[in-house]
Amino acid sequence: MLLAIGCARPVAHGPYGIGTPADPRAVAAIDLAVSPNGSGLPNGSGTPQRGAALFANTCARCHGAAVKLDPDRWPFATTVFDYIRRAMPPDRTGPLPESDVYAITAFTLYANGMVGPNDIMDRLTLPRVTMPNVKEFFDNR
Amino acid sequence: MTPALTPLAKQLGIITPSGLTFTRTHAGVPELDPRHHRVIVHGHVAKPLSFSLADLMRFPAVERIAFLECSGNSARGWETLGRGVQFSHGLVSNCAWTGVRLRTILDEAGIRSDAGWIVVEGADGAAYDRSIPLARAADAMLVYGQNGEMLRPEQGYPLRLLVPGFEGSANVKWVQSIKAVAGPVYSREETAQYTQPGSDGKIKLFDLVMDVKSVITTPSPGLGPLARGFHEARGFAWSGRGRIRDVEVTTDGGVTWMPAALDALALPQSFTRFTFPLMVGERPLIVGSRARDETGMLQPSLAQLIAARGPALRYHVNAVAFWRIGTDGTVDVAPA
Repeated sequence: MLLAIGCARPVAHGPYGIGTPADPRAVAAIDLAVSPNGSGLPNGSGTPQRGAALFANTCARCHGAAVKLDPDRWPFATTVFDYIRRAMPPDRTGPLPESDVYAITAFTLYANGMVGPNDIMDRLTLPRVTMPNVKEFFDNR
Repeated sequence: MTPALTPLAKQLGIITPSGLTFTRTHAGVPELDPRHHRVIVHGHVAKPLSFSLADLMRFPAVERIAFLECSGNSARGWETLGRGVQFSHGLVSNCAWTGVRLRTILDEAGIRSDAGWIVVEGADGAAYDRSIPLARAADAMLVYGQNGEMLRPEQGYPLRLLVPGFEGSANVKWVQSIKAVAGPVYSREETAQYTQPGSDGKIKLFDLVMDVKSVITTPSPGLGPLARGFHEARGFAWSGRGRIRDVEVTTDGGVTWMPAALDALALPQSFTRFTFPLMVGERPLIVGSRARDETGMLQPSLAQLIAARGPALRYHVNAVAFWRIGTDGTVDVAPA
């Protein structure tokens, strides 16, 4: 590092040498996308039971008793986690704790009959939840 | 937020003024300070990079004219907001956009060959995100300019994605993250929203391109009563698949069709202006237009659309629209 100070020119990273290396913490703050294979899922876990209490406190004022997941609109359970984490609740002052997102996801999936009452949702179990109509979707690529 | 629809009946040329560009948002309009806002390019890249607005404006700049159309334009329901072509067709605008090619930024970060898609995310309240297939987005830009001025806040200031031809909602505003990935992430906005029933009953994901469409903007419902005699029918045609090849106009509700005159400025993925002479007052007219694009695709009738996709028609509604012009010069919607 001391040697690097002597030659303060930034390392060329592309054809134009524009931009600065991204701080890993800044990347982590905006790297929210979760894929159906589970990539992007954080550590933590939650159960439908704990999710029910969180939902009653945080979500029910807009969503009522539970959110209905139309099987023709939700091919992947990972999307439920992804959307709650990136968007809910709308008046949040900061992100929900990851385990709370897992718990609310678990409760929502349970309320729609997609997981059992004692199923723990985490980075390994959530991608294994098969949504009922996943075979009715196709990618128009 | 209440949608704002472009008053197409008052638009004289192919460019929609910035302040009249339609607006739809999913989670509000964020106020972003351009001195502090950053776009981070990461994922399957050799070197994750962070760009300020000033950084991005240093790259070679490109400008192009392109329409943006909301996937829900001309779906049922908008007529409750008001009468006229602004409400039946005004979720489309056509502007000159200035920015940097997406490819330039991805190459700067050293995108890897295994990255076939990018996930583009905004800095709005829902961190709105969409997966974009790079193979179908060769013309994509990150834009900061609209019609010769900086983007307006409701259009994504300081930076928005532009993929000419793609449905409006894929053109993510207030971009803060571009992640190179192997495949799509299936976000809520590309599974629970913006999907289409296919002809086989299955649900089509990533039905991204807006098909060929046209509409007569003058005369149009609410503009009458028209004086007796000559009027020039004027309208716009556009296609997400390329240039407009021709436009035909009917004055008898679709029994006979005649070629309209096309303006010389027929750009790909852009409004193309057409005109057709009308005589008002001699007999009732039912006018409509249908466009064909350079791929040969012809704008369908409403009956054809319903036959192909069922009656719900929530997105990608490009059916021919008809206006009835009475002998007294009144103009109203005619049943399709």
